[in-house]
Amino acid sequence: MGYAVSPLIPPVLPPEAQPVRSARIEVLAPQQSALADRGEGPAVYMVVAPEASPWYRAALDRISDLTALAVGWNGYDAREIKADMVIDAAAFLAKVAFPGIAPPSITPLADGGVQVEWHRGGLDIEIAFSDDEPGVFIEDRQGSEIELPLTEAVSAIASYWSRLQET
Amino acid sequence: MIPDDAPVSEDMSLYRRVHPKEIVWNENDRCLRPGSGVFKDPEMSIHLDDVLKDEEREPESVLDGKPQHSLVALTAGFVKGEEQAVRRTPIPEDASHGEVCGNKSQARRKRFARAAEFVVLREDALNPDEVAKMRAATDGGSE
Repeated sequence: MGYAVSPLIPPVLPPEAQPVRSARIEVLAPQQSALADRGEGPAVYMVVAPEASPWYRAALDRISDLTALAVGWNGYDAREIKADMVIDAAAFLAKVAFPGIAPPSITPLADGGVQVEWHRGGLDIEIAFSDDEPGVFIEDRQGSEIELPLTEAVSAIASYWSRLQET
Repeated sequence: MIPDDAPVSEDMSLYRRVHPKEIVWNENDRCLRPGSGVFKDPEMSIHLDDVLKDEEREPESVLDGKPQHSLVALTAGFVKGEEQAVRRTPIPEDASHGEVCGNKSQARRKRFARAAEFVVLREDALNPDEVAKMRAATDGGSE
């Protein structure tokens, strides 16, 4: 199944508060070909998804919603959420949203990034899609902490698969 | 009026606004928490309790004009124990404004998130997905 991410002009916002580039994620028909990656301009962005978990579509909606947050959304001086970060987070979820895995939490970051998190099974897993400080941070409450580069995010989730299952 | 260089006592509460999309359900602890990203800024804005009291303001006043945000509190002693400095940096619109300054590693941010206590939690504004997780856990159902 493929999913598309397309640019979307947000509703009226103060000029200083408008996101640089917004994104909306849509479900494509399964027979449509899918591309990967992101870019500039009016192109439609697509990611290849596995047989996705029931929460996957809702998660994409939540990620898309983050691009509507205006400058200062956190009550201080947060930046707008960057469409590139949204697209990267969506592409990551497409690779790990297999049936059975519990839905992650998806939070905006003040630096314009997106964080995908699981807090279950004695694990606290945080995957930061951020220009400033990208990475994978895993705390196993049995006593270990691991930091990994973003390129290892999918394999990290796979290695903790059994502990991230829905109950 | 409290001078900008007045010492900050260990037991003083430091307040920070939290956007509803930054609040997540933690199944391990079975409670809502601010996400660790809330505490990422090396110069993190906060509001000092002694200034609020001096101005006869309630902590909730920090949320004036921000009807969806919640409010969390940390103690000055906790953040100092995390190798942070607390500075009084009043701004024209808020004399209680200050900053918690210092490097905040991911592990440290997590400790901040666990130590933060909600002073105001606006559940009606939360991400519905997080509310659903909370209800599934607290009602004894499954997600």
